[in-house]
Amino acid sequence: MLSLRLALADLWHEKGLSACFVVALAAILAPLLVLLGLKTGVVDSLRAQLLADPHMREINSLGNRSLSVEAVAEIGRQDGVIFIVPRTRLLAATATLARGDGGNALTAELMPTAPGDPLLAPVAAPGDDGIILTPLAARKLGLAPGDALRLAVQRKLGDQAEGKSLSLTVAGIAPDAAFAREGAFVSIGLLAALEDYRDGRPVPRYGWDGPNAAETRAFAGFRAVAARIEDVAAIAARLEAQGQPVTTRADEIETVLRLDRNLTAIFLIVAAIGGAGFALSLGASLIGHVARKRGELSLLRLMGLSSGGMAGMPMVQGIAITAAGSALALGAYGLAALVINRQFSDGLPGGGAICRLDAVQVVSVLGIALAVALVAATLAGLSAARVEPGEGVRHG
Amino acid sequence: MSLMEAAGLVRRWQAEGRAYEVEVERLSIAPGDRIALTGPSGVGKSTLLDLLALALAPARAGAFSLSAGGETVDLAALWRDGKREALAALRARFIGYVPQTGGLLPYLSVEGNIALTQRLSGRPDGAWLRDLARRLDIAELLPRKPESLSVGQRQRVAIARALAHRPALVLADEPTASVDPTRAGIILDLLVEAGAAAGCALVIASHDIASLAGRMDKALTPTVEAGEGGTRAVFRPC
Repeated sequence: MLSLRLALADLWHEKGLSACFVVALAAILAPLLVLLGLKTGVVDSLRAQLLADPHMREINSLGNRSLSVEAVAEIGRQDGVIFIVPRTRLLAATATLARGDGGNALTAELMPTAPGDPLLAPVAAPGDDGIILTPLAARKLGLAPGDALRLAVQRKLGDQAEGKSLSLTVAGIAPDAAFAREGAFVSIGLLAALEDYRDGRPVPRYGWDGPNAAETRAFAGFRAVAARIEDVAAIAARLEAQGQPVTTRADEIETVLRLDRNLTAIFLIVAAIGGAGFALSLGASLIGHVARKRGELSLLRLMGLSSGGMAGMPMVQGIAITAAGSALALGAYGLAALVINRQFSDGLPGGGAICRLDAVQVVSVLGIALAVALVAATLAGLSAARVEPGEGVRHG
Repeated sequence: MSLMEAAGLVRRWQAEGRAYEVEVERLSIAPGDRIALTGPSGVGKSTLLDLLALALAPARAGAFSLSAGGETVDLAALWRDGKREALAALRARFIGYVPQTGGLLPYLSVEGNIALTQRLSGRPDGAWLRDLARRLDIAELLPRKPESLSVGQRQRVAIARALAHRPALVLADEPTASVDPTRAGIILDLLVEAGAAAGCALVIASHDIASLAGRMDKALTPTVEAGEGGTRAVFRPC
């Protein structure tokens, strides 16, 4: 295409001036990229930290209540809830754990779990005859997956203290983040059986007797997990509204989310100012360029260049300047990010880079820059298309 | 059959508070014609040339048509209907223009400048381009940029460019105004000779009647009426 060739030849002929345009554009774009990179790095690190803690997405019921199996399942079906497991009364959920060979023993908190528990992932949930130890409990007991373990439970009925014990297999060791103290995860079925025994109710599956009558199973509460940290506050609010007091880490999440929103808003304000400045300066430059080149453009029009071809000249130049400016800005950003990340390499917990951009962000920023440039260049193109043939020949 | 017909072709404009009017009473350009457009400076020769170059819209046109490439186009109607793109396409195909001073694009080589009209008309012809360059004695200058050329060399490049796409009509506006008389004669000879080789009609505007004498076969001169409010120039063949 002729006007493409002419436009680029013109830019090349006036290398110095073109370089000024390119540098001016890069001077606007590069700081924006660095700012966006910093925002991304800081917020992503905080978010990653939140996400790395599996308790962040937890929604725990407060106090000891009486919930039917159906009621718990109903809560589990709510929007945004990806996992739920009922729990027994907290006081009933302790037991003595000992090595199968009668060695070390300790008192551990028992927590309910079920298949798909994000807290244990990637460790699979145990069956009724298995148990998952926290790392601390496993270390103190000196047990590894596959080892035998004895679980002992005591109760006091009247003046009489008695106890039972079960043989279980260590099905796995929970991730560090799951629970920091001495504890173990067992199936809710096993936990319910232990609670029944404590309460003096018979447990037929283990052949344990009890003076009290069996009753319809009810649970003291639940532990639910939301799909995303952003969902936690909404789910908690909904449950509270339904008369289910819950406790979450929504405040901590909100702090990070608010920081994200605020930083994004600040970035958008700075980007809007920078973008407007970029559009105005490029538009003014290109229109000024057209005015300066009126004689040459007029001559081309006289020689029969179509008005589309006339408009194409400043548009090609605008796009070329923007492309070169963007490349330069990307280079400058890369250098700045390198320096920043080296300087503040230990600035963020988790060791993530404090200044970083993903491909989508880079493409969007450059796409927006190109779109803005196209608008500015189109204005210049319209003014070029209006140049009359012959108006410049006598000065050319 | 004539190449261009014009009758009652009028253009009016204002400059420094005075009204100017240029009228072509009647003009018929035949293929291969060599027409001298003479008269004092400022009378409207350039304006008339721009009218013939389809670069300026006439205020009024009794008749204005172009017959080239096997078709006859009603130019008056095109201007009336604002068909600017059609007129641009006609300029690209049929008109060559030699401005007063080179008017070369500084960012293209001499060859690129000459090739412009070939590209714009879609008629690339490297052999003819080089032949023209040889005839105009600028063959060695082809790779150079216009800024390194003398005024006379630039003018010859402009002539080559005006002829490169084998237009039917070539218009030259004071093509020798910026060179000395000796060079002016050489440039005019080259223009006439190259125009003849290209087989095109030639209209040269110049205030220097002497230099055109003997080189052209027709003349178009104005009758100027200067009054209180303005100047009116009527061009008639003579």
